[in-house]
Amino acid sequence: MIAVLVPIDGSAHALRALDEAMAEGRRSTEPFSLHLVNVQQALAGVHVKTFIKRETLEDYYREQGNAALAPARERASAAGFSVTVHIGVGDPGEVIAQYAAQQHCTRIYMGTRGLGSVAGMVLGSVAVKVVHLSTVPVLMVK
Amino acid sequence: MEFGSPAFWIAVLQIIAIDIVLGGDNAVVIALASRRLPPDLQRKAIFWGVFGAIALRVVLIFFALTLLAIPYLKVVGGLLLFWIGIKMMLPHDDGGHEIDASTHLWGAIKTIIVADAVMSVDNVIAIAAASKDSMALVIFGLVVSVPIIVWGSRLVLKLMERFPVVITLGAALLGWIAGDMLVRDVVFKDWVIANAPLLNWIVPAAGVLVVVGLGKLLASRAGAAKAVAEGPVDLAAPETKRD
Repeated sequence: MIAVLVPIDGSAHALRALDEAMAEGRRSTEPFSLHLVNVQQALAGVHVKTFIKRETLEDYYREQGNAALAPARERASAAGFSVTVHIGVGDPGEVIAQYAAQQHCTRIYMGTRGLGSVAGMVLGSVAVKVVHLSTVPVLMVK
Repeated sequence: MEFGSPAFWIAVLQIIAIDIVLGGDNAVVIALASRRLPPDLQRKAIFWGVFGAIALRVVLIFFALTLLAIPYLKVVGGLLLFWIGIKMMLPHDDGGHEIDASTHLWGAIKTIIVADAVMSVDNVIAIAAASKDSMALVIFGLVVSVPIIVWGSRLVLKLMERFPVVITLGAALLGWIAGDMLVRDVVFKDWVIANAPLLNWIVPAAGVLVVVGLGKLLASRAGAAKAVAEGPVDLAAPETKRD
């Protein structure tokens, strides 16, 4: 059983990672499952907690997450893959690594802008954080 | 307070920190409250909501120092800041007391007005208290808060997410300022200076302990209850979970 996870943030890099993951799926002779995960930034300000219901906030996360996932989902189903989607909230690196472990994914296909280590450090590369935190192998796709 | 003195710079830093933790999420509240309106009304609601948040601050700042000189009003302000500080450390509860996003224009306007009022009052009280009666610093606090409200939301919330310690530090600062307000109320101020000047340090320090301690305690209780009830959150739409 092969289960791969592709984090989707709505960028072209993420879709390239998805293409690579699907290529592995086509080569694979074992049962193959494809997970897509999107991570929304938590809006945890004190006034948000005071004035906005949690449901409203979760609706918002869900709407934004589904919008970001839509192109990837279409691409996968056009290629004949069925997917499991997940929308998480919080620090992207942490959520991705955690989800991969929970779902017993065998590999993460991580799209990255491919910035150098300095720019990555300044811009806070999610890919770097995933590599750091993940307990399963991570394949970087540039 | 002398310009350029250590006390002055501490007040400046405190004011910037206050504007970040109390101003950083205002635009998000307004946007979420008007989320269910039709797009054209939504844009208007967000514009006027942000405008109101700033305009209210301008008006309140004008009266803040005068108002806070009224007996017991610093006590009231201090208690409000205690509450905000503790609330800051708690997870998002599902309590039904909130006013919220509405599909009706008036519902959204009501939420935005009440939110604007509370958000401006707590920000202005905290700035006024940190300014120690210096009008120049109060105005500085107002000027700093404007860009944070208008453009800073995403950045500030991202900061809190990446470095959760920012939230604890913000709550601790509010606890300090709240304690400081209690001892500086006109009713107690002279007595404290004459008889127990140490209270000027002890009460704010106790304020920090109360806010952070109580906040952590309540947060761990709420967290434990939630973990039992729900397990990890998955927001993916159920109908498309597997196809």
